[in-house]
Amino acid sequence: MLYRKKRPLLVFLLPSLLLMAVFLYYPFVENIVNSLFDIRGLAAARGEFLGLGNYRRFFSEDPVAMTSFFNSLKMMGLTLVFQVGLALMLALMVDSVRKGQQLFRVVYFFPIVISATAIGLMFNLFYKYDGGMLNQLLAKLGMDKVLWLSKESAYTMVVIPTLWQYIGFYFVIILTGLAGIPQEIFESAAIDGATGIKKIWYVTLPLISDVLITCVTLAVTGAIKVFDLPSVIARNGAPNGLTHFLGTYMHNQAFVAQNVDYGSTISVIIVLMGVAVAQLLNRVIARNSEALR
Amino acid sequence: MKKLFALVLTIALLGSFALAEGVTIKTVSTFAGTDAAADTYQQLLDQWAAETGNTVEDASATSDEAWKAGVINDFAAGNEPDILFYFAKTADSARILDRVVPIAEINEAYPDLNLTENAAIAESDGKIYAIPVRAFWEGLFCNVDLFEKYNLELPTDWAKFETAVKTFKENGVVPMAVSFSDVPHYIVEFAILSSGTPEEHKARPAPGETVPESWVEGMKLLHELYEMGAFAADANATTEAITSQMFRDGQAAMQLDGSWFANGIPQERWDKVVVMPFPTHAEDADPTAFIGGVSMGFYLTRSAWEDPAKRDAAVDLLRYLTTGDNAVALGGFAFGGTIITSAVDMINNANDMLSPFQDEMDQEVRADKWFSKVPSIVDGTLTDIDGMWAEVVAANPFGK
Repeated sequence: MLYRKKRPLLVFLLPSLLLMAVFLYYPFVENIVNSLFDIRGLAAARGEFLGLGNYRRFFSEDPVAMTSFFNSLKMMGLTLVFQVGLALMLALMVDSVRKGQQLFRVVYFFPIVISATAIGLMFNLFYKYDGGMLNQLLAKLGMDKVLWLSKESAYTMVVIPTLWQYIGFYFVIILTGLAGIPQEIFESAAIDGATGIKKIWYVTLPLISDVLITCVTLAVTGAIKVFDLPSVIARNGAPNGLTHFLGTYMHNQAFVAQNVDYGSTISVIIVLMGVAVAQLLNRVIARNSEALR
Repeated sequence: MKKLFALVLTIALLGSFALAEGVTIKTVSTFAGTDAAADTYQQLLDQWAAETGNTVEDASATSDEAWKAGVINDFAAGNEPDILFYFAKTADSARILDRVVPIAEINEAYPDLNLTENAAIAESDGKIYAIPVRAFWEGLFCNVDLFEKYNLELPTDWAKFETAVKTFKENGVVPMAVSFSDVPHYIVEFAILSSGTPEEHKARPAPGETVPESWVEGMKLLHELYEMGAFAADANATTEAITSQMFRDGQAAMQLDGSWFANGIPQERWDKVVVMPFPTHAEDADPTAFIGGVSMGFYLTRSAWEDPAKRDAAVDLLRYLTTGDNAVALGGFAFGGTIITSAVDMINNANDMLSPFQDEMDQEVRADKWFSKVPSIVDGTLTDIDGMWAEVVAANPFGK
């Protein structure tokens, strides 16, 4: 009844729609077109028409692109387990704590408010081989120095702070979801004999399934776009291009190599992957949550 | 009360119209942040504005890839400044040449000005578009106190350099500070210069040609230095900010870099650092040769030139910034001590000053086909150096 007249609503919605069209959809369409042409340099004019040449190069001729693609895929899996999974565990534990819940909220959420650049610089100093914090600790313990950003370990070392930073974000969302479950339901479940793991599995998780779906979707799509922390910790995919993600490789191609058309191609692939993964997740999780219910 | 408020507003409005006499000149430069002449530049703009009654809108910022991209984007969008301080005779400047005015054209229209036409920065069409105010040099920075501590001679030849590297390595000091993944620019250029004659360094091979032997040997030299222990163990992974800080803190003994790097060396170390040419590895290399030149200059944009309202003022500001004491003030460095005296010695003793050839390369070719391979060359996982150069040259790096 309140919104019987729809026209005023349209008037309010139109400006944001226009803004989205001008600053998001139009550049995206331009980006798709750019990926089909040869563009040498930022703001340079479109050159030769390449068709799908850049996409072919990405999937069959560029080993660094494949590294970044698989690194991003691995990152998606790791976010599910170590960001949403750990956040869920922490939230379940903190929800059971009667005293000090606020303290835990602040402690776990704190990394979110620190800029990624600052965290990246901090971890750079941790990982530094000569005089880095971790190697100084090892020296105090009488142990040999470790090359933390070696070819074998660099990916893990870059992923750790990237995952760690956002655990608190999902922790707070899940904790808020848990707080919304009426206490009576738990009391009824307890009368029916549901305690401990059973209570979590049969009562808690189904009741926060919507929250979990949101967290998983945000985490996985965020993993595809990851850029800031890896960019600061491992410049240009260091070492030897092994720690490139789709986001960092796109930036490297567009702004370092000034290979704008190829950078556009990678950004189109990022968007397509994001949409596809989000759709897939929605369907899988929705089906599972129905089953849980 | 409302009447009074309206009156004040009206007076303010009229006042702003009165102040808006003259024209507004838009400027963009790199005289910002820690640049030695950042304050001087702002003072000069203020003085010129006060003297002429014109206004200057300055958008200077520290130079990096984002800044360069912003400048190019502004040109592409028709939003270029009137006066620009930007790179000259590089792949970057090649993209703005049709939107800036040759100095000869300005001198022809304003013969009294007699603006400097420096042939060293003539572009590929033979015309000079920029007026430089500051030269640069690149060399081997050495922490003298570390050399003294370990009784080492400064690396004036390869034998002394090798001895220094080995001694520093044995004593837990990083011999050379460098990040191959972040800024390999200086060391690759010097490795090539050290591995052959200056003429080979001046080569600009076209598709179908092969690179001089020193270009191959120079890349092999990087791996030789790696095997010798000349770099930190994480030289392929760490960042340039960290390695430079290691040099400034005295944790690393040597660093190849440019005159801009000296601006960040703290004053208490000005007399503990010297600059010298990188020692030669090949017998036919010139031990006095170094990299240097003029890399940036002031441009007058075509849009300001063709705007009758702005033209005289823009030309006058260009003259103001690039002549007499003002040009000298902008060309100064923010350091002194043995850094500057050793740099002067390096320049005075040189038989040859060479421009960095990588600056003339197409950025895509340089980044994708050369620099991205450097870490693998250094650690020995890429050994087909000829193949790498063949790919670089086939992409016509100097022809675009």
